[in-house]
Amino acid sequence: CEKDFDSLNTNPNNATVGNPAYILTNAEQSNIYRLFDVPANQDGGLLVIQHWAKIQYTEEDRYAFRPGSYQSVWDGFYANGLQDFDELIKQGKATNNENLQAVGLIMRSYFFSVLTDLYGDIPYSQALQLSENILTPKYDAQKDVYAGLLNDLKTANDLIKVGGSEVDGDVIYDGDMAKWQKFGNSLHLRLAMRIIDAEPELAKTEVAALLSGNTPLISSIQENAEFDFLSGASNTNPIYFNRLTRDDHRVSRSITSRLSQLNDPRLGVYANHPETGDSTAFYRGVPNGLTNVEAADLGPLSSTSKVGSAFTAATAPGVLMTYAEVLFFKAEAIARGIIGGDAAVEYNNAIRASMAQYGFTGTAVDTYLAQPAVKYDASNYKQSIGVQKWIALYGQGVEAWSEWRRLDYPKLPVAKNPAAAAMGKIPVRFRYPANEQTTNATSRAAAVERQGPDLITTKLWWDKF
Amino acid sequence: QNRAISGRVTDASNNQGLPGVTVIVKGTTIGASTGADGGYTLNVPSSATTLTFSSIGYVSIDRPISGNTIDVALSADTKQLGEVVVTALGREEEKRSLGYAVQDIKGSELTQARETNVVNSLAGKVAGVQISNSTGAVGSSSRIIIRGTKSIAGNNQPLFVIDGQPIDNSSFSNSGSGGGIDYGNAASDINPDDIESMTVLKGATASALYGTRGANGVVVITTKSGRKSRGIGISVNSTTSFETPLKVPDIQDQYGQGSGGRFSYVDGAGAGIADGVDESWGPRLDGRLIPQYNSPVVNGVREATPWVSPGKDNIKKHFFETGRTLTNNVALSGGNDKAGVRVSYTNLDNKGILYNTFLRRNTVNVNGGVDITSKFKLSTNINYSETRGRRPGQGYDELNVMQQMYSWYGRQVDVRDLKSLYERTGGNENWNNNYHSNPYYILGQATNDDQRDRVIGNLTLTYALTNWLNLTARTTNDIYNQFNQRRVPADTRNNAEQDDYTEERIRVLERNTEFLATANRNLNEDFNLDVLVGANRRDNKLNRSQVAAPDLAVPGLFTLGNAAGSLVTGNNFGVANSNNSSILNPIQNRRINSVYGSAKIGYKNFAFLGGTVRNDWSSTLPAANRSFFYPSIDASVVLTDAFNVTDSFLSFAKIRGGYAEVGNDTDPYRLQDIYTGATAFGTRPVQTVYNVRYNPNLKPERTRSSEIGAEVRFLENRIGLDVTAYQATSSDQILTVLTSATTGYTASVLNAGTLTNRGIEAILTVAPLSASNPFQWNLTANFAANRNRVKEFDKEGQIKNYVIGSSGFGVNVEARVGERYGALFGDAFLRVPDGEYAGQIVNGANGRPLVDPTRRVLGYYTPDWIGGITNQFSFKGLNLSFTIDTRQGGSLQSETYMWGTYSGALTNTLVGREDGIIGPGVIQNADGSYRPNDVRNTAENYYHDYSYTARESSVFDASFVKLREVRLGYQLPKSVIDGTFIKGVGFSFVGRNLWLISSKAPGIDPETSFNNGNVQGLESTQIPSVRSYGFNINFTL
Repeated sequence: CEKDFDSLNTNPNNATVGNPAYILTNAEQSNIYRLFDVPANQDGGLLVIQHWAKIQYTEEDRYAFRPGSYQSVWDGFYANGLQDFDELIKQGKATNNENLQAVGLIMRSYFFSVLTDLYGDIPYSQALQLSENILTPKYDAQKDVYAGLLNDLKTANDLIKVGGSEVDGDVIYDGDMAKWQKFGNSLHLRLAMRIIDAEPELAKTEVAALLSGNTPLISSIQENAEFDFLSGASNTNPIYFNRLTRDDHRVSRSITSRLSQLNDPRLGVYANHPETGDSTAFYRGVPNGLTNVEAADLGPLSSTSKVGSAFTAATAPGVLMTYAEVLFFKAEAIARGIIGGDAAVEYNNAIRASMAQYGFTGTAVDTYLAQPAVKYDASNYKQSIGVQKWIALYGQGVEAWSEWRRLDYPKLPVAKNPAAAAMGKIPVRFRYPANEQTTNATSRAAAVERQGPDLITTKLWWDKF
Repeated sequence: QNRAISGRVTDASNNQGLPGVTVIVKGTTIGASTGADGGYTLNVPSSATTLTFSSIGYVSIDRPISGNTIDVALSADTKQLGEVVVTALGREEEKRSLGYAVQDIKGSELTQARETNVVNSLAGKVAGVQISNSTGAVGSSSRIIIRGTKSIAGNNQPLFVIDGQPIDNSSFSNSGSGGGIDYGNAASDINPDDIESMTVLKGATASALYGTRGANGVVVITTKSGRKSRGIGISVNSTTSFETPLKVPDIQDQYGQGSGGRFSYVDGAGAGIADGVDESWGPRLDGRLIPQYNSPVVNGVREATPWVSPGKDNIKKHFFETGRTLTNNVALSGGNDKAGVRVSYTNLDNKGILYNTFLRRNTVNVNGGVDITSKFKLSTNINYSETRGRRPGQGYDELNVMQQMYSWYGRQVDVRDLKSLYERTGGNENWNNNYHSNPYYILGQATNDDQRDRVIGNLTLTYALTNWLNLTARTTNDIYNQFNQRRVPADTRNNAEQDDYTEERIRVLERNTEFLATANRNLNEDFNLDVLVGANRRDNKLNRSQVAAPDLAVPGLFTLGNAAGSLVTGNNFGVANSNNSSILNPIQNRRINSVYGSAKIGYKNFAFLGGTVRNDWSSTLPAANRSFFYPSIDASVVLTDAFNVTDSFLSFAKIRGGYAEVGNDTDPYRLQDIYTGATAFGTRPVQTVYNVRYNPNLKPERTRSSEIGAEVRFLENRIGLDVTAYQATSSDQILTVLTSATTGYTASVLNAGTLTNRGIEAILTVAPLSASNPFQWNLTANFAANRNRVKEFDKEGQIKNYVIGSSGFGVNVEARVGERYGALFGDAFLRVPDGEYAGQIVNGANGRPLVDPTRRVLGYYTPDWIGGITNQFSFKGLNLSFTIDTRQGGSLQSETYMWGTYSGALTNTLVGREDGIIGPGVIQNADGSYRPNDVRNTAENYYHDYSYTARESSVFDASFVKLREVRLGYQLPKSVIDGTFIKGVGFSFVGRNLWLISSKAPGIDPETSFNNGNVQGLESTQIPSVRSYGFNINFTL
């Protein structure tokens, strides 16, 4: 009675075998897209951190984030991001492809860190284990998530064999494992430094080891971890895609005024001149947190500064990590006494690296660096590094938000008309998505119990100050 | 020596000829059937003394043989709807021998007061059967639930079987709260004119022989045949009906478009004063002069014209058109003792109540049979139908024009002006250029056309091996092709720059090949044994493809070839619906092999014991679990016969009981995880782990049910009561459960849900007047109450609820552990927990309601009970019948009310327009105490918050009482037509859904949904259900 049944029930519509190269391409593209898409970045980190502001539908700019955004960021990174990178780790193990495992681990760690920096305590140790029948993964304390990620990145470094097994489908480094090793270690440095206020001993040990000179790190802007989007439909940068139908974002007045004061050449890259109005020769940023009516009172949409064309281009890269960041961490490690060296030199080099990303080199940069307002201030390294890092991380909303929370500089004004949920403060996290109350209620409740109320004002574990 | 007796059998209620009546010489097997006009001829042996006339649904009559002509009038058997009923696998069984409840409906009840979807005709008439027609759009789908929802996530629709042939009842509707089209359920292709009778097998005991698909009950349809009719019979049946909306929202006509009481038109997109606003919080419609969209522009200046209401019935009278349905059927039948054929043609032409919507259907049915030899018989039924539809958009979507009409509209705008604007220009000129298109432009240009061509056919061969053993072979095919076209002109959506066009092609096939051996023997004087053994192979195939051209090059040319860019596949007509498995799996194949048997032993025709067994092998389950077995058993005793009761009070008493198990398989391709692709990244192909985790260890679902019943009749059968109590537990349900994305999957296929149903149903029949009275009155009432409960999802108890679906604005329809199925879950108002103001709404300092941060159950869509009453009166050729039915309990959430209140469209928003409003409830003081709300808000601000803050404000009791059907008929007396070539003429005035007698849902028909799936209890800018009235003429030649 069962003749042909197996072939009848073999799926003729979808692949039942995954090709690691295809999965890697998709996982890189779709998750880096998600990192810079509206919910996490354009209507998330970039508004909080006041790189951007909104001129229409200003709710998010007043910290009234949509419930759907919390959900889509969470669902997207877990089910489409971590899941695919986890699959690559599994396939790498099954085929003894250690380099593939390492790439999977680095990228999985990257997006786990994005999630924990957005939400705080998250499922980590029990996540992605439905095959083990874990339907309701427990939330790990952020401390434990970080411990796990630091360990994962160490494992990745140990797995990498430059010249070893091939990794296909990689858009970021085209399978260049030496670069992957540098990126993985640089990410390791970022995560170690993130917990320096919360768990200084562990962080210092890790940072010291990573900066000992024996560990390969990103060492030029050519080695920046970037994903180059393409111009074809469905292949473009998310900001470009958003601009096809929307025109809601403007550059924040916080950054246009700061960069103007500093005569920062990057302003011309970060922002466009208004197309109409009185200030077409200048930059007219928009204050954060206007009501829709107040925003409309600024005049026509064309009379304020749009985001710089380099960032809205179809092929604008999604930036995961830069050489400038590594140098900022180095400066900070020196300033904190973890390693020896001259913090001011590394600080200047970091700014040079950031400038170089946008094509500014030589005397223009020297002039910039010589300004008193730019000069490294050893008495308040957090301010110097915080402000310059905030500028350098322009466009990377999530990371800029994290580093601002950690370094507490620059001092930013609260949005003009903050939503009640913000309690008059700049938000320091996202709320857990609503579906978790339905599908993983007990685990979520335990996390809320441990971490504090599920509000956008509840500080994360590593955010001590 | 034989002699020929002829005559005509008529229906006593209307004197129409009654085809298909069995005429048998009592005590022999000699017999014949009546033809289309009710006529018969029978050669009887000289020893014959009595003829027995019997037909399903009629009281059998014995007549002594005298003379050569015997005319008989049969009365409908209202006491026991049919002595003989068609049960599983098309068997005709004596109702008295059944251990379970069945109920049947005569074909004539379906063809006078018509429904374009035949399923709707069952409403209110069968105990325990809940029919929900979705909307008043042409060809809309209907949901049938028999004895409660059995499956948490799967199909809950019964199986439809025509002449032993299971047919497809899929729904390819993509309508939901977010928009889409309702393409109807495929069983709506069944043509009522070809139906002889419908039997509803309600419980699994009755339907266990149908196997996996029997768990939800079975609707067994017997078609009309021409077999053994004599000569040629012609019948013509014509119905003309008109449709108007049954219920439309109570729309205010006091205030026009605008905000804050202000309005002045410049461009309809925000350049004027509130002229981009699509709400009606503008100035009072008092005739003041205001520039408007249709004010004349003189020398470049838009003049001010009187600001007046187009009248309270602007939408109700002027926007809706009178629908019209013409149904014409002509049937020819002819035959002799050895062969017969019936050919029927039906044309349905239905014009909807919305502009430019229609449904047209042509059906040809050929039903024939021939006795090749005295032992070898062949019969076939072939039905071809072609359906053409042009259907409106549904749900909360710009392409559903009701969204605009009911809420987002300027109440000063006369729809007649919009119509003439559209008809004059052919373009999209409108009162608003910010959000909306001219509704006539949407209906006229953004058309959704569909066509379905379908052949349902079977071929049956029967061989009588002995006089008690028959062998039957049957092959059946149901195949259709559906082609849907959706056109979205560029300017109908605010962000589309070019025309969109989408095509969808669907091919459905169901093929069954069946062998049956049936034996019926009297073992001795007391015992009768009835045995059936069968085997079946079922193949189901589905092919579905969707191709969209998101941007067309040449405007207005809607073809795929005109695509400006690349074509997109798998686009579900622009409606997000990623869980639609037929999009994910455009090719689906399934096979189920089965063997089954049944046996029934009868003792002295008053005690019966029956049982069935069946084993299925399904290709959709893993090898270890794909074979599954399930039994049923039933028994009945006719007490009045067993104890020889001859009592003038108690005429009949029977008790019965049964137990059954039914297994069920799953959809194809749910055992193995998949990787899905997407648009390549440059030249690099992409793949991702699919978000739904499949399950290689699925087991068959299982429903275990039992029922007991009793039937008693009193006073010479004039009062009858039939009561059934049942319970069913459905376990191991296969569910695609929403899982936390942290598992790596957003959903997971599990095999664990358990749902129970228990209930009672009762049928009361009363014939107050004696059968000899020329005036006849028959009353049939039915009642059914079902309680279901979700027991668990997974054994570990990790999952507490299952989201069946959700509205676009935050109401989930859920199954929640420990609760009734169909919970509406969403935001409620914050209320005072205790003390003086306990239960009152808490308002914020601004005097407007606050939301409770904890979401909760706002209601359940499943009703408490349903029932119906049908009264039939007849006097000579005149008859009148009407059916009232009701659904009590259950809730629904109305977005029509929510947005109509938000936008100032409904009359309830007139309160406080001039002076503002202090809403009910309290405000919390700084010290935590409460005071009555004392903050006055403008009506606009208050109703915005009231309607939108918490869905609780738009959840209503969905109870209703409806006058479902009225028929007033007259059959021309025989004396008038005697001697003419006409054999019968009847006229009737008919009406359906005439009156919503009682309802608690404001402005809408609470009997509403988006489609016939499990997401019910949500309403969004419904296309109103229709009241239908008209007349029917039928005659036979």
